[in-house]
Amino acid sequence: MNKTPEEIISMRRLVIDRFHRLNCAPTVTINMDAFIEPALQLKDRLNQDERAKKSRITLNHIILKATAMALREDIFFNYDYDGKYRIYPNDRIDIRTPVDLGDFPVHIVIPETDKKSIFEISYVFNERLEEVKKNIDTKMKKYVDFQLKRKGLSSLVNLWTEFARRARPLFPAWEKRWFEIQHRYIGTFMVTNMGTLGVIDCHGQLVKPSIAALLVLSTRDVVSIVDNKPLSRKYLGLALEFDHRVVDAAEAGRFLQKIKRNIEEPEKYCL
Amino acid sequence: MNISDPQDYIFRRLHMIRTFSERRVGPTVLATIEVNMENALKYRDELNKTSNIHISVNDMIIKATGNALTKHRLFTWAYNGRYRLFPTDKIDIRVPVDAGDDLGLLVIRDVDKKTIFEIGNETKKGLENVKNTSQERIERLAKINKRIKLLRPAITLIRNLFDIATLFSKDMEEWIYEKHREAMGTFLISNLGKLGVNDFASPIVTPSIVQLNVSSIEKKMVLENGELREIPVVKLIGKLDHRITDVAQTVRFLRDIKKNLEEPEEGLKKLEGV
Repeated sequence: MNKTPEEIISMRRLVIDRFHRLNCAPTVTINMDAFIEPALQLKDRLNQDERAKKSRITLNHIILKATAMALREDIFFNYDYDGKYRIYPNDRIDIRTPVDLGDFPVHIVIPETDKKSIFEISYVFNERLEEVKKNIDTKMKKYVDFQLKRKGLSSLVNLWTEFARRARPLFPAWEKRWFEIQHRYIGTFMVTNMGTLGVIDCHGQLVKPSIAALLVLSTRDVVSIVDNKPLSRKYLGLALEFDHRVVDAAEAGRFLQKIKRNIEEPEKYCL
Repeated sequence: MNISDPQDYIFRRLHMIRTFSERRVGPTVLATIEVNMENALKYRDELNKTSNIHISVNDMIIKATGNALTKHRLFTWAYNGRYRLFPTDKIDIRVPVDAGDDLGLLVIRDVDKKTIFEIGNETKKGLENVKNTSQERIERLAKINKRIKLLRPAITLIRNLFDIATLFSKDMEEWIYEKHREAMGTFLISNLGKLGVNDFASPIVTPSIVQLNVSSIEKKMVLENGELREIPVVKLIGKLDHRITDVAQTVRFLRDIKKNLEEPEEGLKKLEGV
């Protein structure tokens, strides 16, 4: 990263504010392994379809669909929580997934993920990714320039952010509106896939208004003895982080089991 | 652990209590990757045959991390938990060592510019020194605590005044981080492998942006060409402050350490002019 400290801070200003201690939740993470071979077979089969020529299907697209279908059953995990005593219901499932574009992560939101087919998810994902790749440098430059060159104005914005963060919880209608605006940019539920990076375990920090988020880990080969012969099978690590103020491990475990079931039986639950 | 006087013990732990104060703990994310240690262990055995300085797995991890940090300088910088970063070009690795009832700290300076033997030699000498002086330090601190009753509140008050002053003076803040670096190095590796710990989580505290936790070496079964084989693996757990860095960036750094350990002849070389 060849950037000055000031440029890095300006680039990450939104993230620093998002992870402000007033927004951070007491996060608990639970893990489960899903047998991934049926999903890999489905991916290969779908990629032979005519519709996949436009946009190839990846394992990530199947996981997004599996999660959206599990959220339909446990819609509570899609709601917004203000970190105190209010929960704002949310029936639209817009899953966001961060993508690694070098210095800065970019989030891609798939609107109404549960209502889309895997082909549609793949298409929307790739279309948005291309759009983001095209504009990210210009957008980031504009944002950094604003922070560094228009210091007076940016200080006012920062002051307002600081004030709004503390005042919003006192006005539920304002807070609700703020969460709705945020949904456009960060959706209603996050699925982070770190599998390609080789991450075998991860514990995250949840920030409001999310109640839970799914972390997808790398696949691993598990050797077991079948008919007196060693057999290697592929499993995918899943980690669910949740806010312990409003969810307990048992509820979270049941939700994660549904995601696991959908991934292990994709033909039944994801098509 | 036998504590004869709880207040003496608290006085001894003042720096840790302060380190983990609410204001300094950041939003922590942990990401773990696995390293095949087969080549590293073979390389260590070869080195130990040819030299009278005993190289440990920890020495190799320190060196591999130091070399990887040359490509990820941001992780040695200091972050104040708000909107300031303080750069440095020093790669000084701090390693906590187990000294019985006390926590010892070793700081290995300019790790990238040292050979693995120099690092091995320094850690051995440092560890001996910590062990020899640990009991004396415990007794000295207990004496001070008993003699000057108001010392603990006075230290807390002075520290808090410094904290307030840094809100208004960037120079003061820079000076404090400079002193912090001199005492504590620029990057922390916590290796609990020797204790048999196979996974652990802890919070990140400012001014660190990323810290490294290392687990014990475990045997893992793999199936290669129909044959079952055991390989030694170690977990590298990257602990990051999500305000300043992301999992992907941190994992790229972890993968550089992994590469250095899996290809030790190249990865553990002394680096010049980086």
